[in-house]
Amino acid sequence: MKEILNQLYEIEQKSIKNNITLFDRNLKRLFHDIEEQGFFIKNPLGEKFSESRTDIDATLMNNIGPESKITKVLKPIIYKKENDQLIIIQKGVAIVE
Amino acid sequence: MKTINFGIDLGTTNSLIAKYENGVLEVFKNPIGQKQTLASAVAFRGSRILVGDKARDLLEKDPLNVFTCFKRKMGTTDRYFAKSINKDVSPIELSAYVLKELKNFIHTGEELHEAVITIPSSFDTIQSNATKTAGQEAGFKNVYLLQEPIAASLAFANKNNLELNETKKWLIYDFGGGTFDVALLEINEREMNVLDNEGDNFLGGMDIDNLIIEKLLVPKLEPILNETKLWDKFKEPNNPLQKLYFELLFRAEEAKKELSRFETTEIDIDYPEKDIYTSIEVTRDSFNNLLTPLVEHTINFCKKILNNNNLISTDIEKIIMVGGSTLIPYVREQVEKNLNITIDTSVDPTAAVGIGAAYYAGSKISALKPEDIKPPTTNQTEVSTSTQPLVNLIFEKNTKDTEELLAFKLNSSLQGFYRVIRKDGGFDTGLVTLQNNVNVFVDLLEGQVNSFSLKIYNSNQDVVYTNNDIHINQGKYNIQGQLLPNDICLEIDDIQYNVTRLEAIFNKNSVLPLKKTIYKSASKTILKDSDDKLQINIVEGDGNGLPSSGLSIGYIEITGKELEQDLIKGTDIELNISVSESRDIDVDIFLTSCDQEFSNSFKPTERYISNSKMENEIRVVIQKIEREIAKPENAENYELLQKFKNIEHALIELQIELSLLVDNDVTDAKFKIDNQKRSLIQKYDLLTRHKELDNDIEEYKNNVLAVKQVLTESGSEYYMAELNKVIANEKTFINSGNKYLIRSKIEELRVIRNAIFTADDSNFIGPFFHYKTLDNYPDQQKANILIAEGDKALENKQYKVVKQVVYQLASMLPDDKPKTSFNNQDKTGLS
Repeated sequence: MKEILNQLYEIEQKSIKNNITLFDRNLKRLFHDIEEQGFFIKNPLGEKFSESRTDIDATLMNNIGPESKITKVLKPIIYKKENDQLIIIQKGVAIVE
Repeated sequence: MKTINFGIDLGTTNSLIAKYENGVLEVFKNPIGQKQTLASAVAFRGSRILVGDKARDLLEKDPLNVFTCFKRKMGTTDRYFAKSINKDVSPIELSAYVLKELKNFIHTGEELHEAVITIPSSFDTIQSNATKTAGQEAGFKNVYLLQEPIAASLAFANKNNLELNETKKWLIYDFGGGTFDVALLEINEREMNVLDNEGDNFLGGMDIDNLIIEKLLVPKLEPILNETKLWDKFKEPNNPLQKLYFELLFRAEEAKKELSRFETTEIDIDYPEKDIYTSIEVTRDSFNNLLTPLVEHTINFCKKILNNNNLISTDIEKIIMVGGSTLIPYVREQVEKNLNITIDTSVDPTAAVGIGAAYYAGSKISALKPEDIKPPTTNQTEVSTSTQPLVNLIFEKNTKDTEELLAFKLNSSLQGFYRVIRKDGGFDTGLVTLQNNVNVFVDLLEGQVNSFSLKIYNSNQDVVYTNNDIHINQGKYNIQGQLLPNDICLEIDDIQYNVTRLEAIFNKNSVLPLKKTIYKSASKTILKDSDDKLQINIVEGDGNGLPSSGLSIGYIEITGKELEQDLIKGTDIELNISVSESRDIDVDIFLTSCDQEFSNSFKPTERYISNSKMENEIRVVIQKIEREIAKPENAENYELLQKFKNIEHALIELQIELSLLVDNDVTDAKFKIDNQKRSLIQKYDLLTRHKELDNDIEEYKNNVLAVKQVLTESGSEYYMAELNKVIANEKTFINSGNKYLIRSKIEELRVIRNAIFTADDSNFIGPFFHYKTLDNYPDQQKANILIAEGDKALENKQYKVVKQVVYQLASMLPDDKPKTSFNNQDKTGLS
């Protein structure tokens, strides 16, 4: 399932990058069904990064400071809801600057 | 006799913990990120100590405070100077941090006092003792050591239930992320011994990733980037292309995994800094060419070990492949081909050593006496004893912010650490030095209930206080927000039971505003230009009640005349429903098969009531009441019968009143009728719902028992797991009062029972005899031929044929499902 979610995420990102809106509704539907199954994909691009964040395997371009931000996401964070509790089943992979 | 059960692979680059008890093996996962392995890395960041993957992330940027590969220095006098704490740290201390972190993987709440820890076969006595000391520093009272190749062999032998009657020799080929080792093992019915070992501490999967970049990607990227000597530039510190290098490193690792499964893969490179977006194809052949010298190097070690021990290939029974890099098909092929020895890849290469250690621990008798074990002090919430610090904890339970302050104060002074972890695994402070007053900002997941655990440790890192009850609601809940007094539901068709029913969109006590997208299917075809209609009825009321017992607060009819194309049964209907703080309801409907969108807004003052719908609802409930009155089990329950009759009479009166209303009645008469109708139907609903629910719960329980009984006979682990999935959270769904949920569980149980039944062809003998006795086949001649065929198959014990005959006979029988009054116009059109 994780691999399917990663591929879907990549399709969505490529569509955004190339301004392709044709599949928007289909993608929205797919992500909706995925959430119904208890999965939830998060793109942390632009978020603040601190050394307490364990949802990301980060490659640091500089030392961590108050201004550190996620500037590139190579893999999204994937959560799964189990017994009403969210757990991370895939850490994100990102570059932090 | 109690056994130790826990085994630990304390690796150079990654570590792992597993347990084997009563025939059940479990490799524990890191609660932070759910990975089985933990990076063997420790970072000292001022007052904070980080262990694992997070520490390894910091290695590049803070090499003076982050330590890895310390296993190589075990048993030496070398110390690591951690600049941020201005202190020397020994490899033993660093290993102890990793072992303590592994203890946190144990979700079962067990306390670990003893464990088996693996060591390389090359470890001498001093190095071995150093590992033992690390275990003791991590709080283990007894530590047992096991050589890694033996552990891997145990994992293999136990997985394959091997029974050895003669002496054999195996090679354990361990090609991991950062190191390569090969060991020669002698194994007989009584023991396993490592005879010799060889290896390279600086050869592993990471070298392969760099080769992919250097040899396959850089030559193609240089002309695109208009750069020369790109590989050299990547290695320069602080060069502007470093970001691209890190991305390539990630892509190379992914490509390596892809090429283990496919002949080719595409590596996408997105580098907006130079406006580059390209895709590079890498073939398995080119990848294999890269690997040739590395694999040859490992094979030479294997040959060396054979030569040193005067052995030839035929003296070795098999090579057991361990370590992540042995997942690469080329590595497997070349090792087998060049050494001419059968390889075995049956064990999980990344977990084999830890699993083997757990197997060993599962058979090792504990030397601990009960008095050696302190009573547990962990896993308690807000418990205070003389040894525990009383904690005054303050935090905001509801917030709109994405980070929130958690403040606490100790009532007694304590030297030690605290640690706050968000339970999904996305936030971890690491071990932070305690002060009397602690303020820590915690990151929150948006729109979620964020649960945290706070642990306080003494200076030995033993837990002295745990609070697992910290929950912060982000975004969703606003204290000033208005609560919904009832469920808001959508009326949909229940095709299985030929009725309409409610499905809750927003539950009672949710806080306004609310928004949701739901997807439904068209339950009937509506032809373009026809009078047939799709009905979207938004109802406020009990989500488990009858649709007609709730208040219709938004009603939309889309007729065939409004459609640009036919609405086809089974196609998707997308509904975007939102309720504002002032309770306005917006519904946007998108019909996929027509590619048409409809938008409606409702305000409480604009409530629409359909006379025809009301008439229909009353008619349906009257029919239901008549059926209840006719039921033999109600015949002598005079009180109940009277209640049914009263409701029925009142409904009939309403029916008459409604029929007398003119179409364009401007009075509030129809609203009064609607209110009375809902009140009567709620009464009916209360009389019957619990009875139906009780029957459904009983049926559910009977089905669970039946499946369990069948599973006891068949012993299928697969179906046992399927059953456990269905009955997980049983208490919650039984108490939900939602009969549709319980019915769906009954259906899932039936599917399991059916699958177990059909898996064994001989189960069809009974049904065959049943169908044989029937005489209502429309084509009796054909049935006779099939029955003769079945008899013959039975005689020859060809049960597969018997099964086919049963299926065919069943399909020949006329459909005797009762016809119902659930007409097309009764349906909402949504299911």
